[in-house]
Amino acid sequence: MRSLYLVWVICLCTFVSVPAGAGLQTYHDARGKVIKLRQKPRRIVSASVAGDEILWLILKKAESLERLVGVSYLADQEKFSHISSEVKAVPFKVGKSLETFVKAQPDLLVLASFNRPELIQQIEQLSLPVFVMKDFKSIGDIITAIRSLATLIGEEKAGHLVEQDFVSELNLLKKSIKGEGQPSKVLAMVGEQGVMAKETLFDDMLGFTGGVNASLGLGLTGWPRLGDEALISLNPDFLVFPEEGGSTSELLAKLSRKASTKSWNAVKKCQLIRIPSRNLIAASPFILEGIRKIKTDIANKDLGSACGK
Amino acid sequence: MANSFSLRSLLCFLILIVLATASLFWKVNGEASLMPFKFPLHFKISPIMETIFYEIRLPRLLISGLCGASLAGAGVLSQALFRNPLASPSVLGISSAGTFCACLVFFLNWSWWSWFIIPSAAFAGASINTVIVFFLGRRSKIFQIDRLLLAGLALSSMWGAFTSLLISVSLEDYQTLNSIMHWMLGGFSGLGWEHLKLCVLPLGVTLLFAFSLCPELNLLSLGSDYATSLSVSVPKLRWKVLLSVGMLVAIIVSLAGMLPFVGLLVPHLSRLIVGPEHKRLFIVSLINGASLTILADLLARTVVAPIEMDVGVFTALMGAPFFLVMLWQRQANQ
Repeated sequence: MRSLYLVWVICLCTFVSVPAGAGLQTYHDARGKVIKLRQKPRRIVSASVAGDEILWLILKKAESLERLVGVSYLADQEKFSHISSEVKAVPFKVGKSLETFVKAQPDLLVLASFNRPELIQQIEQLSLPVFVMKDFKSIGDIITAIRSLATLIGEEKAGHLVEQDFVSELNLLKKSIKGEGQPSKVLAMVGEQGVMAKETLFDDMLGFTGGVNASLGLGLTGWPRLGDEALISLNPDFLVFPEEGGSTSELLAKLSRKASTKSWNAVKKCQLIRIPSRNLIAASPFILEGIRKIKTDIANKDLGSACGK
Repeated sequence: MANSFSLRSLLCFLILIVLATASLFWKVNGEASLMPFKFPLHFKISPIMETIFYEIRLPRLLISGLCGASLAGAGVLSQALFRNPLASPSVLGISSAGTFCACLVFFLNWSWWSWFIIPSAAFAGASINTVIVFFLGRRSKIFQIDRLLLAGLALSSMWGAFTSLLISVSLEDYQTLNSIMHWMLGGFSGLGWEHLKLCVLPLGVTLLFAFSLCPELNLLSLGSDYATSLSVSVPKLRWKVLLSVGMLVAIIVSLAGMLPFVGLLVPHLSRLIVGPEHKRLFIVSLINGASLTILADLLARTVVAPIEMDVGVFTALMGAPFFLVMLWQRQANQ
């Protein structure tokens, strides 16, 4: 019986992480592919902003930021990244071409599911170890990514600390929500007709703000583009727009003209929440910045006070 | 023959009426349950339904019908100009130029300034293209069809390349890319009475002007020499046709973006119904063009409601197979 138990434990350990030789560690990525690492990676390269930010946080905690030798070419752009000034010192900015990856001489490449498959294939043909992260559809996916990346780079302790900080902040935000009356209906728009529906980070963010996604009733997922008649029925109390898309007064003027949006409470009361794009699409613990901003604006009674002035 | 024409055009008109009624009253995913024929009898409707009917569906129906009719009219003119039933208004590069300018507005993040800015930019781009084609298409003040066609194709490719450039540099910006892609695929969402007011007069006047050219186009279809011998000033006629096509396409693209195949498919289909005589062809093409875009718009709104698809997708889905059949038939005839 004891030996059976031992076999079972060994099998379980094999599933999580299989030592396939002396010091050889294997991991499974989002594609189900096996990545074998002989030692702790010293030259880590990431090709997505989410990967850049999570790795940067873990390695900063572990005080070994020098191991991050390459980040995505968007990482130093303020519009997309929360670590734009911090990664200026990172030697390589990788991106669309294979050459940028090769130049960085990585011993681990962290890519996203949206990176072009042929690029991933080309990199693998060069015998470079590639780990592809799964899609981020919820805050739970961010926590999973922190854990898997921390294990992958051999910094479980630092990863645990990053996760702990993140989760405790989320808990604090959740606790501070005042449960008075109906939650406000909040809508984030993509372009002029698109919305962020279920199974998006925005939808999950709202759970920590005291708001509820106005598009939930439609039962749609992702970023669907809605018709005018579906839009009119949403009637959100607050609208979330990226800071980069025109001034608030211009936006309000345009929304007040459109038949599908002019009757919305958010438009009538001028309740527009403007946040930087990077906060709206952050797939890392930096998502907290966006959550805080939305939460503050929902609670702010003076948000629409400039209406009509 | 006249009776047959009246009967056929009446049938086309009836189809248009049926489609327009369906477009106005079609139930969309429980949101707008304006059931057929109940609405006029029950005026007690909620304010939201009133808004949907009067401010969303009605102007949208009129704009889609008007755009479809105008594009089909432009198609008739283009086919007469090039004396080729496979020609379409897009060969002159006008819609590509308009699309590029609209995409540029999205790229520069100016689209929020005013509802007027995108139609203005697209119209400006399309007009500039028409002027360039106008000058490139002539030689020693004599109008040359082959030069015009080549200039149109070259400009179309050039504007297409500029648009691709904008797309490639906007790939990471989800807001900009979303707006550009949907504009390129064409559609009538977000259009209201102000857009209709903007386009109805110029489109109406241009269509009337184009209709007045039909007798001369009949003569041109028999050959330039024959038309000239019957005192038709062929170069002048071609300039007039080119300007009419330019005006029509510029206005349509400024409102609805690209609506592929309407200008190609409808005149050809109408020719099968009423024959090549241009007056009849023009009238029936206007009716059928309106029907096609209203149908495409209805499908775009309802197929996966409440998600809205792009109208251009459906015009292309209906047009492309027809175009292939046409090509196959031509090959078989040869």
